[in-house]
Amino acid sequence: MFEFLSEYGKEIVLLTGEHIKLTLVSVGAAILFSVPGGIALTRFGKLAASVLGFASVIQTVPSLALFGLVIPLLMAVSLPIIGFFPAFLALFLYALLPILRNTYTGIRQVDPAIREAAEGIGMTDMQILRKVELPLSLPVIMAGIRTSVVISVGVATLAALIGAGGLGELIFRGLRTINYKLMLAGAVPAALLALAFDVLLGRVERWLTPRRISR
Amino acid sequence: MPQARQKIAVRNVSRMFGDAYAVKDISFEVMEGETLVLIGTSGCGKTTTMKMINRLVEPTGGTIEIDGRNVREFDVIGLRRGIGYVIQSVGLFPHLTIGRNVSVVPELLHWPREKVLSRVDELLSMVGLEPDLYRDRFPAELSGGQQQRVGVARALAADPPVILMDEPFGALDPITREQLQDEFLSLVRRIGKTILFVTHDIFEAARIGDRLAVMDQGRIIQCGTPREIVERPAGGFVRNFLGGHRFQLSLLLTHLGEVMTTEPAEEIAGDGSDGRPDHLRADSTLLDALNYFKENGSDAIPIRNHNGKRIGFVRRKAVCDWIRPA
Repeated sequence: MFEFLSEYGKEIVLLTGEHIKLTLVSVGAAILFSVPGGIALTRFGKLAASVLGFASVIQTVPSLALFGLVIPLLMAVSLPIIGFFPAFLALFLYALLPILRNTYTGIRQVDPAIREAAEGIGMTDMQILRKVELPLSLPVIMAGIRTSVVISVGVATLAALIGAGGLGELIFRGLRTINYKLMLAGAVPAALLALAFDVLLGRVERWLTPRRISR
Repeated sequence: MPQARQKIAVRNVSRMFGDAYAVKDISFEVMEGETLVLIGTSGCGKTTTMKMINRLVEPTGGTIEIDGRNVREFDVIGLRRGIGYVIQSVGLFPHLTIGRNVSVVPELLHWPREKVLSRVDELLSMVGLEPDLYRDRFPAELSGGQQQRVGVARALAADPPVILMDEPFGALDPITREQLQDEFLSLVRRIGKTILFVTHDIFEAARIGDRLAVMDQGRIIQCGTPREIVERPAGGFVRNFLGGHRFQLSLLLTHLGEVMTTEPAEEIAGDGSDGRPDHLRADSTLLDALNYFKENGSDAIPIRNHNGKRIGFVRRKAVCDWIRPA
């Protein structure tokens, strides 16, 4: 065990770092897109069903198949098809729906009486959003982000297939050479990473949901 | 003689939804300092009418003026910040403390911090909530009645001249409702605002309204003082609306000052000597007097002023005479 770790330890740490970077950058970009997107959907209700439906369709495509769809697309527009960028794109698409949907429903489920009172006393739409709707929907949005992060850690293991690195490297190398130690060297950290994010973000979510809002 | 000013003027206002009229060609005024109650059954258009004052709903016809200016001329946000708004479901912001809830509008208006803080405490006291106890608590910790008190404080915060109240006490139990109505009455007397109040409860309307406008199917059927509506209902709808409550209402609306005499009484029992304090005053109602007579064998009740000095009395016979048909 110790020999194994001394030989591969550095690589595991490096790949874990790549894995985290890939996950966080992709989810970060998804947040930048989906939170304003979700807010926009609450203001333009008619689009909501179709946009959410479209994002759902992306979600149902199996992750490996999504890689298979993204790469020819990138080829067609002469963008890089191996390495960081295609992996990022696939992960980004996969992270969209949970955040988009949770932002939308989080804002929509704010008690209409609260919104009516805010409007009636003279808040502008932007003020209602900033001072009332977003603070109240933050826990739900955070739950969506958490889901996206955990999913992304899993999907990011496939990134190795297109040369984007990450812990999948070890898993696939282990599979190719039937070396169970390598397989575990990749799989166990990946699983722990998912778990760690889940717990950490769960804490953040709870911290954002004070008792006083419980109604 | 100083003319009371028209604070709110509603002229030929209509509101359609699709092909149907929610409000049809209504006109009325609310004078400065007056409490006008819009009363009617569900769906009669009273809430829609009220919402057109602060433009939460826009009329499809007619005009509304405040202080002689068409409300459409105002910037809608500025208009709403200058009008207090209280709704049945209260709508307090659950993530803000009571103090922050009350200070919302002053903060939107960029009042200086010290002024905001002292105003919050002033208002909390005014609505019967001890500032030190309640300022830093959250809405979820308060009862329904307390929450609505905060709602009223919030509406009064920026000292608007006009207040709109949509069934503010409707979600409360009858005891709390009556208590808040009483406090509301004394508050209104002190602060002198112009109030448009919506309710479906005729007793509430009769107690707190200076004038009532009875509505049905988007139209105003009758407009007048509670007394006028109860004693001279204009037609079948109003009579039906009052239903069997007409008599009780007229007892509530008649004050002892009207049946009181100031001749020296031969003998009045129940002069406070039986241990029960005499609360009957000239502005107490005939209903209070009847209650008193029912519990008490005497033939007359002493009437006192607010200093406790006796200023007259009411004979049992005078009350019975009043009941006889005119």
